[in-house]
Amino acid sequence: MNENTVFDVKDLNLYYGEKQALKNIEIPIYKNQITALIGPSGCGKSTFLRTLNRMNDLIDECHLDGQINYYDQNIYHQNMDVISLRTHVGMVFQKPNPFPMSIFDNIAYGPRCQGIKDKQVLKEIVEESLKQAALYEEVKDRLKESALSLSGGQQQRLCIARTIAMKPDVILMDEPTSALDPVATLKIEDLVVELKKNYTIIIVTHNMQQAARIADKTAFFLMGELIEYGDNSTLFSTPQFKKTEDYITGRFG
Amino acid sequence: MTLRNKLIESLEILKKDVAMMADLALSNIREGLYAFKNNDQNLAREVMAKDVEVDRYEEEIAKKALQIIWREQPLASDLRLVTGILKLITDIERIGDHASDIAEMTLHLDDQRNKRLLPITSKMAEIVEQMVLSSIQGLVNVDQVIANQVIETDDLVDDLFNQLILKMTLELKEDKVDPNEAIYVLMVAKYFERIGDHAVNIAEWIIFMVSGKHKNTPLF
Repeated sequence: MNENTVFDVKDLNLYYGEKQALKNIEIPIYKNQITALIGPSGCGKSTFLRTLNRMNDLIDECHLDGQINYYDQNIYHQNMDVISLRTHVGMVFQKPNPFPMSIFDNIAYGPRCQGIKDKQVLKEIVEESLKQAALYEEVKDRLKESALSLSGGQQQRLCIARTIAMKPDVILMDEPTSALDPVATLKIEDLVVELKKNYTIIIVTHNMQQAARIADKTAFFLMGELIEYGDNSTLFSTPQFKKTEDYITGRFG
Repeated sequence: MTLRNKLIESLEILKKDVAMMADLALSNIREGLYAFKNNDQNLAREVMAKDVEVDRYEEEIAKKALQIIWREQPLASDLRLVTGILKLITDIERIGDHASDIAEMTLHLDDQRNKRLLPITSKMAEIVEQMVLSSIQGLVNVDQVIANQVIETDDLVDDLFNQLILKMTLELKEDKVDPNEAIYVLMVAKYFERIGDHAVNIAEWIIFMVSGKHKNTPLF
């Protein structure tokens, strides 16, 4: 583990009841990089993503062994403050999920939960978050309007702004553009690349071209195993393993 | 089973087109040399005219390769194959040009009617023809071993060319050969030497297709 390692995953095994969904995963995730997780449906990539902020805790049958270190803390240690972890490791989901409230209140929701009441402070957080999410110019005159009035792409950027408002260190993204049209997708991609200056980003995507376009590193999962993990320039041009080659060239199944 | 039947089919067609382009260039080389050896000016002109067909192949293959890139967005070995082909068709096109050049030499010696034996040049022609054939075989099978053999063979061609220079120099000193004739024979031999170099270039792109490295340099 070096100073640029944000997560260091060691010998991670995860089970849904009897069924093993992740097998001996070992992977370091590096600071201010975009790491893409790819693989066919059911390969474990989203399951793995959710282990990084313990979202799988919410699933009854789910249990795991192994270790995930976030910097020098094992996040599965019994003393881990999960709420604090999820503040540091935010998440954006496949389908934009704005709360049924105003644009402003969507962004201010998290900071208010943290006890911030000062209107000026909240205003600054909302503006800064919307700016970082490249949405401010489009909504600055209608912050009081319902977030549900936004387009799908705007709603997803709102969700990213909502995550940013919590001042996270890492942003997990689970297929954040799969419900969006190509233009909205490219805007989100541009935004993600911009955001990596300040955040570490881990993104699950079914779109290999998207992984190739935006990620620094890509991890290929298959049937619960991490088959290959490396720099994008290698993985998409000269993968080391035949299973990776077969998947990315479509000779799979 | 594969999910990319269309892509795989397109890549196979692309490889076949390259093989046909190379066949045509090789046929032109053989006929070009035959024309030069036999002072057959009509054949020389035919060979020169047929170079247009080689050029047309280059354009068609480039179009198909670009279409595969924008339509299929190939990755990994598929990407290396398509980009490698885009590069190596330039070498086949140049080989076609040299076939035309060889034929053209016949027209420069139109006052000389004697047939030429050209043992060293013929040997060079035989070797480079095999080099081009092997390089295309290396492409069809994406075979690095064949490609390496092509690269090694080029030394033989260079040696033969050096032998010919020494022989011609000696014969010129001893007035055993017409200087005009000597110049064009040497030029023909030089074209064969260059064709050998282009076969080596093709082989280097085949190694890229296998390894992602070109002349030991990773291109990704």
